[in-house]
Amino acid sequence: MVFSQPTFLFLFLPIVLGLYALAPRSAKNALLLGASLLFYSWGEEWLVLVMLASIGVNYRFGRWLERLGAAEGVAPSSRDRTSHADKAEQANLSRQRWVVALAVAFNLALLVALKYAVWLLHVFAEPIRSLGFDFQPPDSMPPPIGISFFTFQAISYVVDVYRGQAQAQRRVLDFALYIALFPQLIAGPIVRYRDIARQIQARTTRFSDFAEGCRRFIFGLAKKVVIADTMSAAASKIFEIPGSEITMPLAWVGLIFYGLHLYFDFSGYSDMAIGLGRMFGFRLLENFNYPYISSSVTEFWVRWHISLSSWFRDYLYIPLGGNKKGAFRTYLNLMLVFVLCGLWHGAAGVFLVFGLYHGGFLILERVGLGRALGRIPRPFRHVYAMVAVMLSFTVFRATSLADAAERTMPLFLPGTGDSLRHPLALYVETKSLGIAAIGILLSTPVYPLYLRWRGRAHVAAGGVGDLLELTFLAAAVAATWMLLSVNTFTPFLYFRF
Amino acid sequence: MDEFPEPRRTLLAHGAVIAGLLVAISAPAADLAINGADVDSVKRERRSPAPFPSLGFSASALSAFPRGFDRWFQDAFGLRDVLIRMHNRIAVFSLGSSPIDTLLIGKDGWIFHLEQKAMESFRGLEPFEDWELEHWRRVLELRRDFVESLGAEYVVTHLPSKLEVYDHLVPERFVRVGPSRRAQLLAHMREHSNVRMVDVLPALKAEVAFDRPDRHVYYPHGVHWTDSGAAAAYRVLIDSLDDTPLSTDPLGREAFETLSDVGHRDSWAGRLHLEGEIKDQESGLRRIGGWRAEMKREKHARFRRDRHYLQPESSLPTAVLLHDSMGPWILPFMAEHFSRLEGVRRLYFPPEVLAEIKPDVVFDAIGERPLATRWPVGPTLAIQDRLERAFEKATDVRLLVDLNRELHLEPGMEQAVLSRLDGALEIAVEAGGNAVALPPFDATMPKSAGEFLLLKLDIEEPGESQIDVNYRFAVDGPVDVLNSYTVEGQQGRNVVYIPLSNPRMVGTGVLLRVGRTRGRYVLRHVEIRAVTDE
Repeated sequence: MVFSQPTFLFLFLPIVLGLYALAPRSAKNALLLGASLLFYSWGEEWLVLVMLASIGVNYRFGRWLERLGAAEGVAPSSRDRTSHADKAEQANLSRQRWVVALAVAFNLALLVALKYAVWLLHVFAEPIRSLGFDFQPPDSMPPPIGISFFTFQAISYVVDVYRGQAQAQRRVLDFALYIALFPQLIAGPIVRYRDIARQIQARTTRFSDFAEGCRRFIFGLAKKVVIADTMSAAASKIFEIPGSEITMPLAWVGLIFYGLHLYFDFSGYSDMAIGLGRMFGFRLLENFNYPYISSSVTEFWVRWHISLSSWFRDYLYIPLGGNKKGAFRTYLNLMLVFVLCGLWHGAAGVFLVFGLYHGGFLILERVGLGRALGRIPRPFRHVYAMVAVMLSFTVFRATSLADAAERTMPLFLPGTGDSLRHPLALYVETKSLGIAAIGILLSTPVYPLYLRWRGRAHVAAGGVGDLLELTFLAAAVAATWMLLSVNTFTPFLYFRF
Repeated sequence: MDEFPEPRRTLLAHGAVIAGLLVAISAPAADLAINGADVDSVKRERRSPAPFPSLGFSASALSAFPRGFDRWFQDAFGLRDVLIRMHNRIAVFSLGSSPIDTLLIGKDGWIFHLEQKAMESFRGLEPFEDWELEHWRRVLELRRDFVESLGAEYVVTHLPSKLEVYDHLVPERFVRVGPSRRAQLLAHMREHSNVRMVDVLPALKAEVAFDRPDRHVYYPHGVHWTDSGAAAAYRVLIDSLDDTPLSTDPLGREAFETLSDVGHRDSWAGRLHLEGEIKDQESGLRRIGGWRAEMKREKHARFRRDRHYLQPESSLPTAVLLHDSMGPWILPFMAEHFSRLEGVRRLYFPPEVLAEIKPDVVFDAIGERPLATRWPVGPTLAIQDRLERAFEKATDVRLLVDLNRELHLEPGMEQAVLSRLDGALEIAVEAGGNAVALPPFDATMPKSAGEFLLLKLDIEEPGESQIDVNYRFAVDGPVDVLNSYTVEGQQGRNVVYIPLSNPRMVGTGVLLRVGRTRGRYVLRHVEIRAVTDE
């Protein structure tokens, strides 16, 4: 189930909200868990068992670590230092390391098996055949939705317990709720257990929290349905044009539309997750910070999918030594992190290249490009960053490297393509142009700036400010509901004369 | 962060947001609970609403339930009609854009239909290649020879689309880069063949000069021509017989009276949920003193959409008009010149029907869309008895489907439920969007002339329907749901043979669309052989 389908919005959500409001405090978690499992199994059917297995196993790993003395509020490194004399303690620490390694291995194995195995078999099919084996890799199948999110959450849980940064959850239902909580289950953000552990135990939803949650959900849904979906449709039409026929202006317009689609789709889901979480009393951390105002690729990754980049920072980059082991190791660590970050987005060679591309830019910016950029005016730095990021999206969207190359060439070859067959005006209509303009505006922090100004200017509550906001939200709801309905509008026109 | 600072707000403002969202998410389900599903709003889209899925406790039933429920709820949720109407009103009247990709809002609010490669053909984006033109020429000459062997004249016209006739109302951004397929074929035939090809486009364009607010050549918001357009084309068709013994003069304008506002016989307004808001007023024509020919439906009609016109006391010749959905407008005019006129609605050439009727003249008047979507076959490849004999003699089996294992529904075309019977496959069709994917087969065409692939189907149908076979042109390409071979199915058991003769067809991802009629279809045999037409 996804947030933008009628079954969720007009049936599942009001029913769950209603039951949640009526449920006694002690039953709220069980209710949310039941709703989350229904939410997941609605679209993924038996694959919910995979998630349940992951929940069960990771719960046991957490308890095991707890029994071994982890999660007592002391980080393993400091325990290391204070217990040199105590061999039993050392042995215990060693066992903890084995357990956490086992837990990480289990989660990665699950992820690889369900998301990457078929791709890897295809990659290695030819070498295997060259050894004389009659090997035919199986057909690919889509991985369970959200597996990358819940697996990373599970890893962060066991690692945090091992590090003593969180206590193991003793109630399996509460742990299951952490993994399966439907607002963030399928599209993030990646929630750290330590960030919401207390909220799972006890939380309250104030009237103003619920209202803020509603505002955020409406905003996110409108971002997804009104902007992202419109941009997606407009970009798809352009991307359908063969590379040899597309003109340079059209190629750039397609790329900008696609960039807007990606950002508003993803950040829209994050907004909806944060809003829904707030309605149920959870405070989920932000996942985007206006990435398109960045003036370097490094800054872009500080602002884009924050929960993913910070996860890689905390659970891979820093454990690998971060930037503490010399320049070469720093670059190597960065590249490894970004290769894996690229592959996290999907099992395909293009995602590997996407990671290499961004890792390469981060290294270049550390080596000296960043300093050079610092000497030019910010608008030019911004153009650099946006061109660099947008170009990576051609790879991100491509089905193969050849496809990516075919899509990239027209961006730099003026005068090529067929402007008669594909005039710009045919692909840039009033609606898509208007929505793109709104999208570009909302890619900048204009709305928070307004809200901050409103706060600073002490605009009277209940005055024009509230009215303006309500009008805006009502318009967003109306536009979203209309577009959602139109998505179900499939008139039979003329198929058979 | 993309976070919103939270300025001071009143309780009233918070309450309004909460109440607004709760009402907005609850209203559709509440309306459904109180008023029931608005079936009419879906029927307005000329399709059947998705049924509520059956809830069984088998693994397959449980697995199918969510998708079935989603489909049902998408059609059933309350206020759907109101929301769609609001959206379409803004799209059409404020933005001048169509709510669906298959329609185009042109100048002056005219609506053009773009499906079946209409725009590609109009703009000349997908012209015929020389060998395709030659194939068309050979097929049309074979058809002509067949008709002449029955002692009849053969007249062919491909009716232009509204885009061609009203090209001045098509927005300028739709630049034409070459001739349409219709124009290409016409030019090729005039240069290389003596088949009687008639071009009605000049007459239709000339008729546009007489347009008034309530009188046009094509319906402004529909796809078909009006009585005025049909009358203009009819005169050209009758004139084309001038050098034959059947020569006669068509009726002039003075022979007809105008019927004011005969209603919108053809408009997308309803399907766009905008009836009453898109104004449709169109006058019609009637012969002064009444039509001489009378339309009757006779038992012999093989297809419910065939029409039969008679002037019993007349010594006039007989005719067949092979037509598509444009036919009903032109048939009354044509019928005035024949003692018997059979309107045979087919997208393909039906030799058996013509042999049975034995007319004096056959008008083959199909719209130009099939030129972009159908691979034409000569008359012999449409005779089922002949195909059956060829199939039985052939030994080169390219595909023999194990109905208990090998067929599945094409993703995205799943408005049906498959059940395996003993040696057969039941397809319970819920709505039109369904297609069964055939297993891959070797579609390499035989080298010798007269050889081709032949698909045999043994299928039980719940009612009259069309069976389509869609295919693709490249192994990795999309299945082209427009390009298809079609054969008619009748209620009950059908054993039909479908020639697959397009040399560009590949044998992966071929789709079998058993019919749009809701009900139970049972496939008992699916086999493809390479055969020789003797």
